[in-house]
Amino acid sequence: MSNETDRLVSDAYDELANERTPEALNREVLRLAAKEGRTRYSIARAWMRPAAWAATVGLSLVVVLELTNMPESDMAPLPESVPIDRAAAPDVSDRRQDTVNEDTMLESEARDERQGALAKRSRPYTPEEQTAEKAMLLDDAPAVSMDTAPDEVASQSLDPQRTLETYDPNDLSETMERAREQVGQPSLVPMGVEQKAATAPERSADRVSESQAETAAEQSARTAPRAESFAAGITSLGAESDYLCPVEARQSAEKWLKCIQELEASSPRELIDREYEALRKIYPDFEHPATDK
Amino acid sequence: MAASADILTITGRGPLSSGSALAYAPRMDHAPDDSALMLRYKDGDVAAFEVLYRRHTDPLYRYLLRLCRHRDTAEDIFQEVWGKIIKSRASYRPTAKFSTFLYRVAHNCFIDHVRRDKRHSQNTELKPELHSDPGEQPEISTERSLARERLHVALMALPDEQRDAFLLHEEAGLSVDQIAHVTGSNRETAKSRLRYAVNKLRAAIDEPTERK
Repeated sequence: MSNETDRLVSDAYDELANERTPEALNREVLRLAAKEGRTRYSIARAWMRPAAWAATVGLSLVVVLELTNMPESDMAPLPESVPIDRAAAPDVSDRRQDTVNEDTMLESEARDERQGALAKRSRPYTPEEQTAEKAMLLDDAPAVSMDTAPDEVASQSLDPQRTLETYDPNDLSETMERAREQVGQPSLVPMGVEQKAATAPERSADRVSESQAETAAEQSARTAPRAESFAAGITSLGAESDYLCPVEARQSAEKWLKCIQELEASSPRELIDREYEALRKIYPDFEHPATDK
Repeated sequence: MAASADILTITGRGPLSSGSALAYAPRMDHAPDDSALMLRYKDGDVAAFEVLYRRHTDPLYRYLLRLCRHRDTAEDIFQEVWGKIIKSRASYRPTAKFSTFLYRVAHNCFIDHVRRDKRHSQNTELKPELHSDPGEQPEISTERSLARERLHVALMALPDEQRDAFLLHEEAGLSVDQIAHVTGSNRETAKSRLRYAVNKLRAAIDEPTERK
């Protein structure tokens, strides 16, 4: 079977075979195909996808709008829902309500304090406030040197007019410089004791050096409660000049006793006895054979 | 003719047809494949099935018409074939060419019809549609009409297996291997059937010339 023969037969057949499918037959087959092909799922699928997209977009828009319009206070988590049986118990719910009320009161108080502080800062400083702030900057109490006269000290600390004139809240450098100068003075021991010591001219030989004074000040700061009781005892006994031992030695019973024993050889006996007596009064619990005399 | 399977008719004529009344166009790149259309129909796309149907309806109709030799029988089998294609869409797998699948179903339907109808006879009621070109000379037109009639008679006289092989080759554009697959025979048998058919038809066409 050559290609030439095949082509001749094919051409002849093509001229012969020109029938077309009857249109009625076409309609019947296509009707059957449409009937069988359009399942319930395919019918639903035609609108299911657009509907799903529209629903998704719509829900997203609603959520975004709700979140945008929701006030910030509403964003807080809601309280847990109370089951019916628990809600019927009055004590639990009352306690919870009390807790809520207490929290609300604390929050409102804190808010008032903050608002008060803000209002206070917004108005200009009064002279008293400026004085108080300066005192706070100078560590609450102005340090006084031993050379300063008591009257001058009193006038420095109690003259608000002078403080107001010299104080500039915006110029802290001057204030800090003055504070630094005062800190650099020989002694920074508590004011009452130091003032009394400064007024006794015969005790000037016992003055300690600057470094010793600073050390004493640090030690006094560490033993603040004991120093307070000690100062109270000193005040009840009398003036600072009545004692042989210095203040540093009288801060502990052992040191005081050691100081007295060192002075026993070079001091009159009555002064030594009076020192022992003072030791016993101030430290009644301290037991030592020498103090029992 | 087998190579013409790559072209697509735009007039509704079968892909293997030719002639002045036909216009061929190259297969468009975007034209969906038969298997793809069937899969779309499987997913419920009825329009895809209509495209597939229009592509294969006329060749299948002519195949069944000349295979059965009775118009009513051919139309019944035609409906039966497409009904089976429609019902089998759920189990359709694109493992082979769709036309092979379609004509295998048609061949089986024809075999079933022959087995059911014992009265299936060799007599044919099918008559060739004899038409002539108006601009053609009368002698030539008469000769061509006589040649078509002789071809028709020879085709109807072929044994069913040979006619089946020839029609599958001409209408469906199947190769020898595909014909063997559709008819359920081996390749040599299909090739032999096709050769015998073509030789007989060629002899019928050339008969007046030989007499001269």
